[in-house]
Amino acid sequence: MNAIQELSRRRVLRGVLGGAAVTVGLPFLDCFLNTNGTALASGQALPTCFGSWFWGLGLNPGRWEPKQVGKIVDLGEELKALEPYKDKINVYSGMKVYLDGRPLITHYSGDWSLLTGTTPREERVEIPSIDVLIGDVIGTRTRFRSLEVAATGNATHSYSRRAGAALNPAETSPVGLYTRVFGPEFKDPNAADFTPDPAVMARQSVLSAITEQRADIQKHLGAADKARLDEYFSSLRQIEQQLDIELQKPAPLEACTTPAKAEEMPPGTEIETVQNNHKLFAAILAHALACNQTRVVNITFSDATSSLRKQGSSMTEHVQSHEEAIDPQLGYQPNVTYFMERVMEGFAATLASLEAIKEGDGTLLDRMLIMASSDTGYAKVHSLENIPLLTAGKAGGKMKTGIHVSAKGDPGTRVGLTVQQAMGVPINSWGTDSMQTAKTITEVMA
Amino acid sequence: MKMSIEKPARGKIILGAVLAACTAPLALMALPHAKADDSAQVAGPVAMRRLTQDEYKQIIEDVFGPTVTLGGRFEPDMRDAGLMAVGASQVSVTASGIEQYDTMARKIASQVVDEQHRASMIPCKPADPKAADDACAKQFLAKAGKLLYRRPLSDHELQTEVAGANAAATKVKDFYAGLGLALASLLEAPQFLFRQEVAEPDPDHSGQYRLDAYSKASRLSFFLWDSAPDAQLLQAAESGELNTGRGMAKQVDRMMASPRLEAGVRAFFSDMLGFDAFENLAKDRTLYPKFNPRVASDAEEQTLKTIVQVVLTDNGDYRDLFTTRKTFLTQALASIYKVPIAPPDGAWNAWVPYEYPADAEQAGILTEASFVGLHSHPGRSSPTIRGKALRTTILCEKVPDPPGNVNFTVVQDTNNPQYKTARERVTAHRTEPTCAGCHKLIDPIGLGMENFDTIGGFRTTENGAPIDASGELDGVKFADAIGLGRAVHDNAAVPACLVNRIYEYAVGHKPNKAEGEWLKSDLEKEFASNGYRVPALMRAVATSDAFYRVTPPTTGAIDAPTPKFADANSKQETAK
Amino acid sequence: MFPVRKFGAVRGLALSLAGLMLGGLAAGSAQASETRGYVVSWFHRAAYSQDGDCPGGLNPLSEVFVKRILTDMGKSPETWAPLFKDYPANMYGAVVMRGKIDGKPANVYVNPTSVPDPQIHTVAGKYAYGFNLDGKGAASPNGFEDPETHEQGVNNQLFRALGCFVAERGTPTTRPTWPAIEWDAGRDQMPAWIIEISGIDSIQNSDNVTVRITRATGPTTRNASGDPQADMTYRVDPNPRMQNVVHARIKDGVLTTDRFNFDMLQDPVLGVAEYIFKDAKLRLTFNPDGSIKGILGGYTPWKTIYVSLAVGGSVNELNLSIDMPGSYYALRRLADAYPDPKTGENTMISAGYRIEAVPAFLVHPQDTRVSQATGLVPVSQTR
Repeated sequence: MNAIQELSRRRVLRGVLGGAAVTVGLPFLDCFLNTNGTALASGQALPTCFGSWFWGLGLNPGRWEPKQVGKIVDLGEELKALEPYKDKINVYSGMKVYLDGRPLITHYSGDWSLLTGTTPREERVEIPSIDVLIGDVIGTRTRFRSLEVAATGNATHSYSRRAGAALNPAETSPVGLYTRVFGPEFKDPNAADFTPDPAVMARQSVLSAITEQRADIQKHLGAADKARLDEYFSSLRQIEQQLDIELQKPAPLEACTTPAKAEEMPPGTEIETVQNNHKLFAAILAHALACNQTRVVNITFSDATSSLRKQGSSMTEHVQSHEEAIDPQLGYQPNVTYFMERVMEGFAATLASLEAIKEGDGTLLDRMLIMASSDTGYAKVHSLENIPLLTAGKAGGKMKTGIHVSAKGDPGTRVGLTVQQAMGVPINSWGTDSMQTAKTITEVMA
Repeated sequence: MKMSIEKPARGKIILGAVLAACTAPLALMALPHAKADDSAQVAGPVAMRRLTQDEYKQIIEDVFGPTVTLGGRFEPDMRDAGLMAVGASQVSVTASGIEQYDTMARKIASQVVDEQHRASMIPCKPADPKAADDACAKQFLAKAGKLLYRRPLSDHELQTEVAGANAAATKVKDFYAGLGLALASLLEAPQFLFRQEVAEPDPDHSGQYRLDAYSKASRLSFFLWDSAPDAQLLQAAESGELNTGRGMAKQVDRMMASPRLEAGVRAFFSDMLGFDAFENLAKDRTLYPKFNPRVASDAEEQTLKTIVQVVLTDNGDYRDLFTTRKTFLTQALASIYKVPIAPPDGAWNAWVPYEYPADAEQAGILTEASFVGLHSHPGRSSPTIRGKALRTTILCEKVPDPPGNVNFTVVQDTNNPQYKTARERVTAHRTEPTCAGCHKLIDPIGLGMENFDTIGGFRTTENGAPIDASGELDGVKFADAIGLGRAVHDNAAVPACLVNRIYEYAVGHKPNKAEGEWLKSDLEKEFASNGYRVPALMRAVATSDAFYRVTPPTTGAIDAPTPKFADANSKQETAK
Repeated sequence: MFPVRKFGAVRGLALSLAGLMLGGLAAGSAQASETRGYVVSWFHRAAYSQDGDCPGGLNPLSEVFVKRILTDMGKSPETWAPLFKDYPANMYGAVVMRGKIDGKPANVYVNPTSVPDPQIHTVAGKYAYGFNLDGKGAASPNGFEDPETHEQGVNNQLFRALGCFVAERGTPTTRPTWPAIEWDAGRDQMPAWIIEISGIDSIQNSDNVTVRITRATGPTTRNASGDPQADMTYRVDPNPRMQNVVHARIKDGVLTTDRFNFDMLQDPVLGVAEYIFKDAKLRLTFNPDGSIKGILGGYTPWKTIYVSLAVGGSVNELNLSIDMPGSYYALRRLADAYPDPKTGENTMISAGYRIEAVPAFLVHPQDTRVSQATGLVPVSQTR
């Protein structure tokens, strides 16, 4: 290979901050669906899927809320990146988190209250998050119970947790996620032939040895430790399930294609890196959903204490949210708002990935419901008022979209309640204390 | 009926040994510095702790050798009460976590049974390599299982594992593949991933409970060597030796004399100082081009080497860590600290011992990049984060969360001058009454470190303005980081914090009231009278009653351990 | 901002040692003098390109001149299409044997005169970096004006020869592409070049300064931005062949040396194996961030320059758009010093090179001194 060219390219790449943006191609395969492409050949409807999308530090109050209540005509300035999708999203303004006398744990109380229904008393949450509640209803029969990713490259930037003390750790590397989902253990639903692998059966034999020993192990455990062991076995069940699935021929899915392997940037919190890796994650997750590898995806664009930063700047978004002066002409903090705009572009990129998967007359987004949330309504003062909440997708027809709901003073759990009901979780109310609500947002229910 | 024995004074110990059947004082005779703590209340619960990343890796290396590679990643360990060792007793394994454990287990196992390794790893050969072989599978799985589970497998455990290996071997027509899968199942089983502790009635103290011998061996080994018990220690557990004072003392002596003690010291201080944060440490490339992931790992290693040298190799005063001018540097670190070092030619990245001159501006681990760099923003330093880190990690003091209703309008004034130094930037912390209450506890500490930028480089100005590094710690004023180091050295909370942390680390839980009192009245005093020497402290913990005594278990675990464990103690347990 | 390091009493002792060791070149007065150490971060042909400095236009890109080459070789345009596919990948082989010696095809890079002179454009602008080497000053028929010092009669025929090639053009803020790649490519393997400046009374004004340019025993280390990291420690290579020592003066923050001969080995991946400059002069400016930057001017063997270009053969020629035989003829024509006694042909050409360096600690093997950017400290502080 031409040493000069290599050097020139290397020099150019080094010169460009952080490298080039990457797009993921979508090769098509033949279809095996019903004639409309809207269902599996067996006649079952394509499953509804759920996604959570989290970003830190909210948005600027007054700049994101759509002008009209009801049908969205003019999105707020800060949501302008979502303009192409305004008919497929809902925006919820005015809702808040109640502390009920608990301390305000900055960048913690707000996010976890909206995601679990209960405002935490201390910096510790032990109840499941909404994606787990939904996943337990829709996602128990897929290869992965859920897939979590963090565009910031930090495994602890996850807003998904089962009961118990620990988070579901997030994937930090798009290549790692790709290998995990589409690597050697991926069974292509559209592959012409399928033979059950004896090695998989062999693995089942040895794993059953562990489950057979459960009673032995439990014998000497106290109640708390027994609960942790139960969680272990519940997790082990996922592997057993994965092996079961590997031994069955999967139903063909027209829209299932493997994503192209793409170059990731080394994980980090610089905004270009986050944007780049987030795009790669979104593409892989979209394919994972289309191929029915999972029904629940959880994306963290930035953590609640957003460590997003620009190269060459001495301040992270978080520090700037407190220190940057409000520009008297603009009426907002310019650098902080720069990040907020990138965040919304990120959300738009997620929607684009889902829209890119065509299924019959619609897209993957149509049979999804994504809930996007943050930790605060105004980061500068850690406000819990008017925390931005959005949903995207029609939940397979259960949700109406293109609507702005304004519910000033209502607990943000109304959105979580509505989302769960749309996804089929059999509940009438959700949340505790002042966050408890039974008021479904009927305007958006189909 | 509970025997309540008052804590005997030193003179009474020997008498007590003669009078009581209690074996503990015998151990105390062998080790003149350990003290009795015979109060029944000084005990904590059994702790089922998930292996930390390091413990997992260390065990694999110990059992299968250093050439075996891991193939996955670990879900993050959790920190509670300041330590991962305590958080470990609260976490389970998530679905993604077990996926990774499964991947790693299969990768490790496939290496162990592959053609290069099987001769040395597997003590027997199958009759037919294409089929199951009961006897050889049993032999191997019993041996490996004992080392991995830190105790012999029960008959039922062994039986199910062998059955699994046989079924697998039959399915794929390959003995070694089947054996490998069975080994993998051992590596993802709860008995491996969790350090389960079993309580048994204490035959020497009716009504009380102690850890069974294998659980003692585990606690001891993970504490001193950050790994599972070796064959010798398991043997001492099996024979009952560990249940005797002399036997325990012998093992403690052996382990403390071993070079493997360094692993235990490193693991403890890594946990206490929060070095897991190095994994995600990033600095702005444009502002600080000297920083890269290599430098981050050098910074971590620098401090660990300094700690090992001071507290272990030199067996020195723990507090000297905050004032010592001696350290170890690589080229990359030296360029950040702007000092010359001359590694040998051909070993350009070697570690070189370095001593700062008497009038240097930096000394002690607080001025090393592992502290000032770890506790800063990516693009600039942070007196608040550093001050808080000192309070919580070195002084074991809790700093309250910021109030929810912080009023930032005061800093919204658009006519604010451009703050040049951090001291100016945190002015509002001092002047606003709602802020000052807490910030006066932390900012004055961190401001003393402002001569060090976010990667540990020394500077006298920031944005052109001179830096004032004066500050105050609990009433003691200082003019710069050297003075801060001195103040930390002299602060009474510092050794007390270490004692508490080391005990919590060893037992895996926050001390209860009785334990806390014992730590204060005994261990802390002993630490001081031993010249604040860490090995002596570790020995004191490792030979204390509290380390092996446990509170009565809540359910189910009261029965004698499964009789299948070949256990010399089983005779003692019949009486209750 | 360069920090001030205090090393107290130790420093005084070390400084007087320095005076002895350096053969008494330290300042004669009682005032203390300093030694500073640096590692060279950049060394490449200096270019001051301006619009219109090539009256015939810039030398064309290879896609253009290769057509002339093909025509001269007798290849008609109908045959060109496959050669231009994925240009230049399929062209490399076609142009190598375009020379003719006794009617037979010859490798044009090895035998550049086996084709007629293609008459490349050369620089006719006003400015070039360097020094008035031949002493003729403004009277020099080939003189330039230095854009920084405004010295007249600057001799830099090398720039004149190559400066109309796109890959050789640069400005005060952009490095000429090819020379920069050459230096950068070699950096990770070759032993670092180091500069030690001693006898500094002040970096504003000093009369009796000594500059030593020599090699270290190991290569430079890159920082996160790809540039050499400052404040690293290097061992000085005592190899007597490459001790370039010269007296200098600092006036108003600019250091200028006397004339000297410069000889430094590089371990080239792509560049010049040995840099030789005769009758050379060096000027350096001390920057606030601690780095030094300047120009080394002198006469350098022109054939060596040609070889450094042509060794890459058609790959270099087509990717850099440097007509190799054209550069040979131009260099030969413009060479301006040291005639070969037999042929009378000039063997060396005047040149100006940009040199930049960042602070470094230098350890001398024979003694226990360490010179650094702000003073000497004994390396014996290690245990």
